[in-house]
Amino acid sequence: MTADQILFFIFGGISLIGAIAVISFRHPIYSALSLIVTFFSQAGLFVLLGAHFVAAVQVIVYAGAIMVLFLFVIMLLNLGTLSAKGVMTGKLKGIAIVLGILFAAQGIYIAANVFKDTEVGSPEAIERAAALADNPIETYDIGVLLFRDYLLPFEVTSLILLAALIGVIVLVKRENRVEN
Amino acid sequence: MPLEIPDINWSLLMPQLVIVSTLLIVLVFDMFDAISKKTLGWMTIVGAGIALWSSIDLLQAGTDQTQFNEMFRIDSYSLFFNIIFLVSTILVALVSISYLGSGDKKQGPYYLLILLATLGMMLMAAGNELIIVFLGLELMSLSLYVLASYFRESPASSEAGMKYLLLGAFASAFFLYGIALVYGAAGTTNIPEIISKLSVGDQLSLLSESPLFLAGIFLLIVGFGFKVAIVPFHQWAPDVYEGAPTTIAAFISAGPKAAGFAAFLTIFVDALPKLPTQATGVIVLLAMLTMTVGNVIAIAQTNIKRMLAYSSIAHAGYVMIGLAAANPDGKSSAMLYLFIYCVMNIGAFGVVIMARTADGENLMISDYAGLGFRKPLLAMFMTLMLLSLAGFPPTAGFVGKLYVFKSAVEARHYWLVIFGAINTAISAFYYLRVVVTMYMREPEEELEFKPYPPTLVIGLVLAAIGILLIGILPSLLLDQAQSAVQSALL
Repeated sequence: MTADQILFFIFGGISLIGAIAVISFRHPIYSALSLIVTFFSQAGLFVLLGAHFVAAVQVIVYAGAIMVLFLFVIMLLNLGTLSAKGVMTGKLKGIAIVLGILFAAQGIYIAANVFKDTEVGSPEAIERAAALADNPIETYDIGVLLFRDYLLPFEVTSLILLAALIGVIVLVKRENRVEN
Repeated sequence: MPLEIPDINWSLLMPQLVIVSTLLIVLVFDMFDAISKKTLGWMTIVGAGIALWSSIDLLQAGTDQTQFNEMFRIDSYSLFFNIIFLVSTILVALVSISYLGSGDKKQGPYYLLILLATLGMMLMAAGNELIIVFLGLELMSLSLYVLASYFRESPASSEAGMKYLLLGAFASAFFLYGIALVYGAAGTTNIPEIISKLSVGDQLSLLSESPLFLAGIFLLIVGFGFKVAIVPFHQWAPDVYEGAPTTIAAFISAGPKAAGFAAFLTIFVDALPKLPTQATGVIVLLAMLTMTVGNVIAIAQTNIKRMLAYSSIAHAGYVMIGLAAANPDGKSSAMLYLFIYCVMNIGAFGVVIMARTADGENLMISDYAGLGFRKPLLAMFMTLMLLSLAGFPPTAGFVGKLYVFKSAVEARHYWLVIFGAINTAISAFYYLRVVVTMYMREPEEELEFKPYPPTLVIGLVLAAIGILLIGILPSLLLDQAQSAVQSALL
């Protein structure tokens, strides 16, 4: 086993453990915190694939911004520990089981057909990853796309965000009523 | 590795840059309580005025260039539309200054959002690339959703904003999905490239028959159809116009409709001849439906804002005639029509605002009874705007309809012209009914009208002069529109 393979199994394992923890904890805060573990280990997998930019964005956006949003919502809604029975009851449980089986079947089908030639963690796969790592899509390339080729859309997006920001403030701001 | 900075000719971007600077200045100045909110309105007008001046300047210099990797066109077509948007913005801002008064503290964002929407429209008209058109559309729509629900205390205004947001978000999704399908089929989002890929030499290419591409094109029609309120995608318009602040109803009915058509025309006038004939059939059918449904339902309206909403739907149908003609004349006449339509529609809404009494707006058509004797100036403006909307000579509305119909005759869409003419007759009925109510009916109760605010009168006088001037000397504008279309052909 090469170092890459060992790292792959470590990160993959942690990612799975984190994901299972998300759905097994009864307290939503614990679930959210376990999700961070999954996000971080996935960032590690991206590094192994040579996608350094995606790894950094994964940590900053997902493990950072989106998690904070999750925690805010959980705290604002003041969610307590879920009851032992959980939220899944009756019909909902049936639907969940059917959808779950369908989803799993889909996953197995794809894994069996699309990835049948590539054994995960096989020498060939690692070789390919290494080739990608030698000539990776760097942050520089993404920068060129954003700041040269697609400069105008990029800048216009910032204005759209400004419009959304102002719009939200206008709509939710409480008016200071002046008595007269 | 140093990143090559793209070569940008800033002077070509003057109109847009001026608008962005103005909106940032308004944003900053809004923080100071010492500055009267009316000043912000005047800043908006000055900023839009400078942008208008630089657009005219660029237009006269005959600029025809692209910037940002051919994503952004600065040619007479986009500059002509810039003039439409900026004139609408200036008129709406003039009307708004007195409509909002000076008491309300929340006016800063109002002007800011109007400027952002204007910028979005300018991007839509200048977009040479579906991504830019989409981003401009979103910038414009997001600002309009908020503006429509600006009077938060009024449930009708909130309802208008909510409806507009939900349906608009759907339309945006359709539009974006259309872009994705077109990109999937054509391999590019650059509009001229897509159109050139539709034909190989004189022959139509396989792309023009590809189901994926056609599905994308029809989704684009749905997206645009919603934004410019053509039947059957029009249901939002009357509710939004009725509930939104009247100034914003004027704004939504003018600029954004022109912007939607700007992008619509860019794509479809050149693409329609290269698409299967059914595509033209769809556009013709939509134009007929839009004119007829808009005009017939307008007859039944008793609320003047709703009547103007249905009339604006019908006017979108007339513009569609120019689009269906899909020839250079169709394009230039549609541009001319949009300009005229914007001015007269803002004028008509301006009169509605002017007819306010101390206890609010008078929105029922019966409230206008006897106005001709008691408020002659107001009634005169209203009559002029309505005659122009109905298309009577010597107003601009007549000129607009004349050239649109002419282009359709050239394209041999005779049925379309007949439909248009019948609809003009129908529309004359409900426009003239308001005039008759004003001059020939006794008022049911005495209404105390508010004094006329000066800025509103300025705005209306400008609109009235514009309508008469274009009506008498149409070549002033038509030449510009025609040369804009000609230069695109060369």
